[in-house]
Amino acid sequence: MTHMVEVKNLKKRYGDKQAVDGVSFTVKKGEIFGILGPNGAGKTTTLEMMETLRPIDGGSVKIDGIDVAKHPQKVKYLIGVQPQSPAFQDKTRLTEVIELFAAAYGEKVDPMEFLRDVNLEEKAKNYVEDLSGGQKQRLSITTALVHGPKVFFLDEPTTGLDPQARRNLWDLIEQVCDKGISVILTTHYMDEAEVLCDRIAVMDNGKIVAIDTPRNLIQQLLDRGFKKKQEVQQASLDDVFIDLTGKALRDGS
Amino acid sequence: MKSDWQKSWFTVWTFVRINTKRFFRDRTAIFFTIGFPLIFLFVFGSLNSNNSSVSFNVALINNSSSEFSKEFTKNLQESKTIKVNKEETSLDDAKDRMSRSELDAAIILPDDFGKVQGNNTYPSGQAQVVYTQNNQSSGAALTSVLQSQFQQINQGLVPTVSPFTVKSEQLNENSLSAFDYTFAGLLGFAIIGMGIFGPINVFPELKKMGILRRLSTTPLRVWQYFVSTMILAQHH
Repeated sequence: MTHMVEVKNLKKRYGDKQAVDGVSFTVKKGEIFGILGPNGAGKTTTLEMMETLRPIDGGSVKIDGIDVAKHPQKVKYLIGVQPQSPAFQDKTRLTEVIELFAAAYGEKVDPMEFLRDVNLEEKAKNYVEDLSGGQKQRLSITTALVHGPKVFFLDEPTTGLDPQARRNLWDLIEQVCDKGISVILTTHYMDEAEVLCDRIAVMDNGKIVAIDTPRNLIQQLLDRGFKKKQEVQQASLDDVFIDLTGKALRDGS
Repeated sequence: MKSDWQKSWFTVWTFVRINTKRFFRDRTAIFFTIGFPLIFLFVFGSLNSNNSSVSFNVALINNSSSEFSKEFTKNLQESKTIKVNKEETSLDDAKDRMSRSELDAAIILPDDFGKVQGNNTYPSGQAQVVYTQNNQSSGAALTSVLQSQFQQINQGLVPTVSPFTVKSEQLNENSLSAFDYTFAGLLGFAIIGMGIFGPINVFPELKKMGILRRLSTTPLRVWQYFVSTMILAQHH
C-alpha cells in the first residue's frame, strides 16, 4: 500500500453551513502533510473527522486501509493526536501522564524512554502544571506516540510558542516523520508549512483550493506573473531573533 | 500475552492508581473529602453528646388495678434508665411502634399483678417484657433490670420466696435493625457526597479542559473511565 491515508469526497454540514465540502487527498507513509487555510475554512473539522472525533456526513476516510466511520475503535490504535492546546490534570507527574496514556491503549511502557525523546527526562518527577507551553506541547507529542501510531495528527501545534520552542517542535516533528510515521498538521504559519511540509493543501470555504508541494505552489504563483511589490529580504526578524538569542531550548521553553 | 479482558482492567487499575495518588497530593480535595465531613461529624456529634447514657424507651401496659402496680408504675415513670412512653395503652399499639423501632420493648403488668394471692400475706405477680426479634439485646437487658428491681422489692417482703418475677417474650415480628437504618443513612450520605464531590463535578471540568476530548481519541472505553472514577469516589 502506498497511501497511509485516503480521504475521498469528505463532507460535513452544520445547519446551513457546509463546513467541509467534498475534500479529497492522500498522504503517503512518512510524509508531512499540511492543511492551511483561514479561520473557518474547515481544517479542524476535517482533522476531527479523520481522528474519529466527529461523525462523517459523507465520503470516506481510510487509515492504513481501515475505514474510520466503520471501525473507529481499530483506527484509534493507528493514530496519535496532538490537540490545539494540550491539557493535563494537575498534580500529575510527567511519568504518570505517560503511564496513563499508555494504559488507555492497554500498554505498559517505560516512561523515561519517551521523556528522553522529547528532552523532558529532567522534569520526569515534576507536575505538569510546572511546565511551560513548549514543554507541555512536547509532553503532549510524546503521549500521542506512546502506542507507536502510523499517523500523527497535529492541530496548530506551534500557536503561542516562542521562536526557540517552535523550531524545536519542528525538529521533533521531523524526527517523528523519520520513523516512518505520516504526519498531518494544520497551521496558520506559512513559514512553518514551507519549512516542514512535504505537501500542503490550502482550504477555503470547506474546499481544497490547491494541493501540491510548497515549492510547486510558489512556482505556480510566479508563473501566473505574480511579483512582490517590495524586494524580498534575505533574512526575517525571526532570523534576527534566533541569531541574537540562539536556537537552544531554554529552561522554560 | 494479555487477554482483552486483562488489558481492559489493567487500564482501569492504572487510572485508579494514578488518580488516587493525584487525589492525595491535592490538599484542598483532601480537606473537603475527609476534613470537612469530620468537622460536620464533630459539630453534630457534640450536639447529641448529652444522650450518651443508656436508656430504654418502653411502653408500660398496666392491666392491674392494685395499689402495688400503681406504685410500681409511678416509680418506673420516674426512672432515668427506663423511659416510659405514656402514649401506648394497648399491646397492639406498642407492637406497631416496636416494629418501627420507635420503642425498645413493652412491659405488661397482668391484671393480678400486685394483688395478694390466696393465703399469702404479701402481694405477688409476674411482669412480662415483650420485644421484637431485632431488639433482643434491649429485651434481655430490660428483663435483667426489672429482675434486679424486683429482687430488691422481694427482699423487703419475704426473703424465702420471690413474689415478684419477670418473664420475657420475644415477638415473632421484625423491626428495623441497626443495619437497616445505618445502611440507609450511609447510602444517603454516599449519594449526597458523590453528587457533590464525585463525577458530576469532575466531568464538566475535564470536558472544559479538553481532557475528555483528548482521551476520546484513544481506545479508552467510556465504561473504563467511568468505573475508574467510581472506584476512586468510593475510595474516598
